[in-house]
Amino acid sequence: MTKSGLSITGYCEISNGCLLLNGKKVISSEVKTLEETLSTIVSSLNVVHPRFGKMDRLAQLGYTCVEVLLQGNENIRQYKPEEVCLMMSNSSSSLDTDFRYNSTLEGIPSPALFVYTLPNVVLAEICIKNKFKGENLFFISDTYDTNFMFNQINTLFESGRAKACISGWVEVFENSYRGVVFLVENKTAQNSINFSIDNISAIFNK
Amino acid sequence: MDEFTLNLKRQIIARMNLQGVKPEDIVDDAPLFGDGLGLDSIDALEIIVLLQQEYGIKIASAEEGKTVLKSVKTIADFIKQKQA
Repeated sequence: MTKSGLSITGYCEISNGCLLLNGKKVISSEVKTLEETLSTIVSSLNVVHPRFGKMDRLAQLGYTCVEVLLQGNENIRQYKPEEVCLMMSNSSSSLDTDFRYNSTLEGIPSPALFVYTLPNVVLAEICIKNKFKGENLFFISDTYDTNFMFNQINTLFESGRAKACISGWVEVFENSYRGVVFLVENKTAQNSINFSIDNISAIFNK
Repeated sequence: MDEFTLNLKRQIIARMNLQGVKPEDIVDDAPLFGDGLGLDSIDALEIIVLLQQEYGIKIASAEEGKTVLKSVKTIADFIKQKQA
């Protein structure tokens, strides 16, 4: 199923110690932990941000995925801030940080940890960094619900609220993590692929 | 830099996750918020928690907080005054 005009103009995955950009392996780390993988990526690609150390692990993963996805992409700046939307999902919500925060309740709870006990804060970090002001939504589901997300993204474009949309899966829980993000635009670009359910599925199954 | 101030700066750096910042990078009387170290309101709360946890000191009011949390020097002076 495809809709005319919309394309996936880039995609990025961080999982299992590797960074893949548009399907090509860019970084492969010997150490597979999220912390060390992200540390390798942010230093190698120079996508570090003053707030990075303050973010929780979910926000760090989502932020890094999007920074890599948009690195060198000047086209994204042609859109008004209100025209760039974000639509992400995961299965564990902010549970990874919820548990960490819960462990601080016996003493004096950490305010800095508390602010990350919502999964959509990852979207806020991305929006603050990039000055995006479009619609943003974070869904919780067992897996990336391709059909549902495909329809939601199409609705954003059809209603005129989006000229570009970053969607994907940002999941962190204990030792398990996976970030997959892609950029949908109402244009074609070099190496872009049609925005379709099959192509979204292919990105997730690479 | 005296040992007390050095230790306080290390605690702030660790608590705020100020990656790449060393104690000597923080000027004793430079503002911590806004143009200074770039800390925000959540960081202010974290410093208040730090003072409670590490030194057993509470900031009594928002007004006192504004005065105390201006710089590392004002925080250090506040702790020393409370511990005297």
